[in-house]
Parts: sequence; structure tokens; C-alpha cells
Amino acid sequence: MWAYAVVPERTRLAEPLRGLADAPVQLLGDGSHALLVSVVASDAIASAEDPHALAAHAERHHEVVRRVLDSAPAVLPFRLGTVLRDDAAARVFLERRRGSLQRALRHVKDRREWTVRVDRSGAQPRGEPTASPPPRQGPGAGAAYLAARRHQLTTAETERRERAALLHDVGLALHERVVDVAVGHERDDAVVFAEHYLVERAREPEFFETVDACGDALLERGLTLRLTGPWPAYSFARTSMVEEAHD
Amino acid sequence: MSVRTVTTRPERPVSRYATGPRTDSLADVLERVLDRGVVIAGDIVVNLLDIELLTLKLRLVIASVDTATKMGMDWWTRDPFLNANAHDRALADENRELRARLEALERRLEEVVDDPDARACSPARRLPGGGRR
Repeated sequence: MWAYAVVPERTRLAEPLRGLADAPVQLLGDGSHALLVSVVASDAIASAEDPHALAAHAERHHEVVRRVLDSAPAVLPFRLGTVLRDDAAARVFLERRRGSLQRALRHVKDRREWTVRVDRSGAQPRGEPTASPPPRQGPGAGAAYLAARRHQLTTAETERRERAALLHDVGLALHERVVDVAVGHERDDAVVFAEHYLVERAREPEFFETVDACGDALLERGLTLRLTGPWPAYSFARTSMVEEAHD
Repeated sequence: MSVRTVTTRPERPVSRYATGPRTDSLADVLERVLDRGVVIAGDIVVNLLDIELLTLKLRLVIASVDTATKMGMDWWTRDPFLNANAHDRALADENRELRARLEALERRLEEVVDDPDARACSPARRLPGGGRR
């Protein structure tokens, strides 16, 4: 029994959904909450040891969760690979975790996740030299070169500090528009800022205004802001709220 | 009371910096579903996937894609894992190569059958890569 997410009991799927291995997506409720699940054969899941299959599973899992976001006011996505033994196990889970599920769902109700990333792929800002100063010939050329180089490095350092200050301000401005923040972990060195935000749907216009203002300010410094979303609240489905079934 | 038209998904203005309507890139999706979301442990859960290991594998692949793209390479467009078309292309390439080699071998075979002394001939007469069709 592959689990996609927890939703409020009253949720009704707007359209029939097909999940992993094309199995139908069903709702399994206990009166308070419902689990979105699919009954899938074990070998269909285990085949995901192959990265190609895993990517397909991941996309399908995400697609189901994303679609349900349109039908439900609150969706708590599961991490990929949550497989419950059977119906009984599913009910045990819902019953034992009723309190924390309630809190977790309330936290994401009518809210959506948005991600803001800032990278250095913009145009070079004015004043920052791209190439080393060309070496000149003749007396005094060495000193002149060093002086030019020092100036270049100082300018670069100043640029760096001002950029850091701007990013700090961007963070503060955005935090005021959101309910919750989760820091993003980026592999890419070019990404200088990455955060995930939980935003009230009703407050999205103000959030976007602030994003635009920040984006404009960053562009002047050669930094590009990118907004992705809306996402189901993966980053805010607090894993700490769900402990082991036997505790 | 005013009458409002009801639409299923009222379109509200989005930020100018939003990257497209639904550009959920594979890397973004994978990062989310592998790393976040509710995690349950215990006897009600069956562990069929070693998510930690798979996450690591995928991160390595994605990291290589990032680096390669930045360096202007596009090997990943031919990697069957990352590109559905690449699988077919890879097969097609492989087929072509195998066919060429087969043809070359067949020609050599004909030669040898026709003239047993052909083996003694200079290899420059017949290039192993096969001629153009």
C-alpha cells in the first residue's frame, strides 16, 4: 500500500487519479483524516532500485500529490517510499497519530509552498571588472599592475559585502510575508540564496509584490531571483510530528 | 447581492520572477520527494526501497548534470536515465555501429572465402571501419 499523503477526511478527489504503476489512487479514512494510497505490487516498487524507474515513481508520486492539492485545502505529502503493510496498518497509523496529523494539517491548510532562489547568472553589475588588468611593459609596469589588481580585488570584496547585505535584507523582507520558512540546501555554488516559504493563499499577492521588489533590486546587482511554485508543502510536513508506530 | 462567475481555478497574477506555469523540473521534484515530506518508521511500514542510498545516487547524477550544463556539454541529453529520447537514440547509435562492424566483417569473410591468400594481403586494402554505403 503505497502512501502519497494525508488529507482531511472530507476530501473528495475531483477526478479519478492513477498513481504508481498506474494503480488507482484511493482514500482510506478513519473519520478524522484520510490517507491517499494505492495498492501496488511489491516488485513494481522494488524495481525502483534502478534510477530510471525511481525517477518515474518520483514524478508520479509528485503528480498525485500535486493534483490533490487542487481538491483539498490541506495536503501533507509523504516522502517517497512510504509503503504501509495493509489496511489495518494504515488505520493504526491514522488513529495513533491523530493529534499530530491534526496539527500538521492545520499548519499547511490553505497555504502553499513557494521557493525562492537567487543565483549569480545575471549580467555583470557595473563596476566589477571581469578580466585581470593587462600587463604593461616598461618601467613601473609591475607596480601599476599590482595597484590595478589590488583595486580590482577591493572592488570585488566591496561588491561581495554589499551583495551579502542585500541578500540579508531580501530574506528579512520575504520573511515578513510568510507563515513559515525552511532553508534550502543547494549543491550549486552559483546559488547564493535558497529558501522555501509557506504562504497563505489569501496573502499571495503581497508576497509576490515583495518578491518582485526584491527581484528588481537583485537584478541591479547582477543577481537573478527565481520563484518556483506553488508546491505541496513538502518542506513543511514536519517529520518530527510523526514518530514510530511503536513507542 | 452581486453575481460572480465561478471558475475552477481563478487565475491570480503571479510574480514576474515566477519560472513558468508548471516547470517542475525533475531535479526539483526529486529533491522534494526524496528529502522531505512525512516519514514514518516502525512495524506498520514495509521497507522496500533504500531511499537514502537512492537519494545519494540521484544527487550524484544531478550534480554531474549541473556541472556539465555549465561547461556547455550535453552528454546528459544522450543519457537514457535523464532523457527518454536518449534511450532510443542510444539504441539507434548502437545499432548503427553494430551494423557497420557487421558489414565490415562480412566483407572480410567474403574476401577470405574467395581468396584464401587474402589473409596475407596488406591490411591497408580493407579498413576495419568499413567503407561508406
